[in-house]
Amino acid sequence: MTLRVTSPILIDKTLRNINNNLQQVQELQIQLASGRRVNRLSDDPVAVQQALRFKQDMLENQQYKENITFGANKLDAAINALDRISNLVLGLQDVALDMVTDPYSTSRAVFGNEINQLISEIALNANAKYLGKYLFGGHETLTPPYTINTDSNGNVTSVTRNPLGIDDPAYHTATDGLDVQVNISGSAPFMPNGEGNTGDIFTTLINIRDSILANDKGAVQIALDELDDEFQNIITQQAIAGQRIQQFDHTDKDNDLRSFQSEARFSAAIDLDFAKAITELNYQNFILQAALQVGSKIISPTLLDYI
Amino acid sequence: MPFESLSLGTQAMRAAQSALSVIGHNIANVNTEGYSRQRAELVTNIPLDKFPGQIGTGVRVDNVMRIKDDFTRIQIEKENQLLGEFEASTGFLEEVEQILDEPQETGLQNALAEFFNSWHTLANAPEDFSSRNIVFETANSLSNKLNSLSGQLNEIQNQADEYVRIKVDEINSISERIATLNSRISSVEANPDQHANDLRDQRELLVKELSKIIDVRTYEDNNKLLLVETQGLVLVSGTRSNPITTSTNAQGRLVPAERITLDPLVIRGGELKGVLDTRDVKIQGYLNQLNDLAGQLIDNVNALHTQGAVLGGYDSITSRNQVANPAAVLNTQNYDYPPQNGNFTLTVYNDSTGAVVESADIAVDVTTDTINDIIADINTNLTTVTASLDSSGRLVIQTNSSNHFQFIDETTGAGDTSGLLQALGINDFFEGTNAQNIGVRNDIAANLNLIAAGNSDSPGSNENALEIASLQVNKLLSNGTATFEEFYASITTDLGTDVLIANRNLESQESLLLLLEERQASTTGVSLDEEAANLIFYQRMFQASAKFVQVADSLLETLINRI
Repeated sequence: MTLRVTSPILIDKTLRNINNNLQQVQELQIQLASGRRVNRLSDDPVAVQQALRFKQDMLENQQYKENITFGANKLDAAINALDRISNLVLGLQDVALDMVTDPYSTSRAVFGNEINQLISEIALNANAKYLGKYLFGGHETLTPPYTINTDSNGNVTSVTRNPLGIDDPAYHTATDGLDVQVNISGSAPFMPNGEGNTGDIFTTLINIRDSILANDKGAVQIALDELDDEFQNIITQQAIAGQRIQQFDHTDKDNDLRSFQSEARFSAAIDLDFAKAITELNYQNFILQAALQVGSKIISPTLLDYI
Repeated sequence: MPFESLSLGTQAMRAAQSALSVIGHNIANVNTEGYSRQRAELVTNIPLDKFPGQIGTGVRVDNVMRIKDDFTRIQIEKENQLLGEFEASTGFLEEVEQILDEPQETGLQNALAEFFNSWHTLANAPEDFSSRNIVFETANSLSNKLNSLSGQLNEIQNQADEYVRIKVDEINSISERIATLNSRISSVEANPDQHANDLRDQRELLVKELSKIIDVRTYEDNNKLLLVETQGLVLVSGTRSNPITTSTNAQGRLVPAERITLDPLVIRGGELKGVLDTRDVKIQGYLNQLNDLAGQLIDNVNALHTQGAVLGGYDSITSRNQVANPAAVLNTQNYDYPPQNGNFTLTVYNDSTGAVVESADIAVDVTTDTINDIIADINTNLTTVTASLDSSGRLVIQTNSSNHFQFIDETTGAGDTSGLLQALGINDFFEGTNAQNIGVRNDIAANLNLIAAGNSDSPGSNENALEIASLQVNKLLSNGTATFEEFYASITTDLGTDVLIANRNLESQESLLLLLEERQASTTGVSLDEEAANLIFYQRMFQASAKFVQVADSLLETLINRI
């Protein structure tokens, strides 16, 4: 059947075509203005889901990075404190060895004071803080982990540790499923077996001081040997902290790589290909022009114009 | 004979005039919606029997007919129902789409990620006010986001209710107009020679409008009265319309209903079907999923939070939830998050030394224990702690001024395994049960130390914060197949797909209808070219007839002058 074409059909069709063209121009305009191919969920639901997944990755990684930076800084601070302590101990070893052979008792008395100073300094470093929190306090981060007790002459008689929480480990999450310890057990570098037991560096230092004052060379020698072991303890803990920092670094690199990939994929999922969009816009504009011109030609004439 | 010719000529002129006025009517209505072009049907007059044969007596207008295409019209009415349905659902779904403003930066996904990230920040520095504040702020904004999303979805459902009300009014108004037209058409066409062309156009247009709103079927009886019914309910019968009304369904939502019995109508098509399906299935579905997400968030965060230690411990705490019947066995009581068999530990610490003063495991057997039993258990096993019910039926646990307590075992770090604390609302984090009422427990705002970061009384303890942060990557929803974020992403994908499909349906239905309307217009529409041609044609007919009258007149004149 041949279609009877009536004027309203012609006008309706022309308007509809122009409107369709305008809609596509508008869609492209929105994309170009936002720089995104996907601006609403329904533009491409699958791409949106992917984009959400990748964005989640980025958001998580951002936090992991913060955790890692913060944790590594804490460990760094602990390493520095232990470094200062080990230097102090090294200096003391040298002087003590000289002192064993020193015939003059006056300088021994001076040395006694020096050791008192040194013990205080080591204890002070064992009470080192990072951002206001004690590094070697375990979970008791607001209470000094070590207390120096002195007699009336100012001699250090003992150094005691906080009985609560000092060895509690604290962790930061470096990535999904990996928690890394960010503190050094408070006892391990200084008295791994408890106050006054083997490995208590403070007791050993007090022994050295007392033995030198008493000029008991044998005892000094034994105590210095012990100090060697205790020095090793400190170095070991430094190494442990170093390993953890390294673990953080490795994880950070992995995270960065994943983050980078997620960013690229996020962009691929919803960002706009500008060259393509602009080409399409030009083409669409061309079609619109054509539709308008053709429309203006066919709408006007009817037979009435010619009678 | 000449007299006959005179009347033949004038009749022909009259016929041409009638035809011309029909053309005028057509041209005038070229853009009138629902108008079908009309045609004057010319027939020859009854001839006269004469010798040598019959002689014609000219022409007359037998009828003015409407050019119609009932087949296409009925198809249009049917397809219009689908168009209405798709239009309504697309409109409402697109509104929902605007609310869930993903993939932008302000969506729920960001709020969720920031919330879980804040627990990492807390784990990094559990002693700090600032990190506690971040947890509180992000939890607060997450709750607000959920509240406002569920509120906005609800608002769209309310708009849908309003839409139902308006459409029911429209149905009634259209029914009434059809009934009026019925009576007019019936009386015009009582004379079998008359055709109520324009009135019929109007009635058909009304039926088309009606079919966009609701699925209707129509039958015309012998008296030209149109019966309109939807799913067995008569809307127009004869010259009377039968108005419908709205009633409230079990969910408190508005539905179209029969006027007297208030029974909900069966809706099988049109805008009403679109709006009801979208409101009760789609939007309610998103709302349910959102509530599921919020409920699981509350449950999981609280379950961990009640097992944690707060900074500085509690001197006293009052449960948020009231105990309905303290003498009833626990599993007979309706708790939002019901307890199970297990135990919780109360450990008392000295304020100044931080040392443990005493500690007791309180066993909970939900099949035999009552709240009174639990209270007695606490009071017997701990000398420095008293438990009681206050006047409003809330459980109060307190210790003396030199101590504080935690709900953990200091040596093992273990917390509540019975869920009783969560059920009562003690030492939890979120209050509420769904997206609409989720909020941060209100005393946390005033005292950020009540955020439980650790599992020991020490300020640097952060295990619990890490546990809560790790909820982010645990697959806890959809029977253990999705994380919170994945679950939310699936809601958004569902919505996006729904909108996409609705849009595509609407587009294809629009073009189908356009095709049908074109086909209808090609039969019933007015073509100006055609009318112009006819105009000339009848103008010529008129002129020729007038000439004929002139000739007849001159014949008469000849005759008369000869007499």
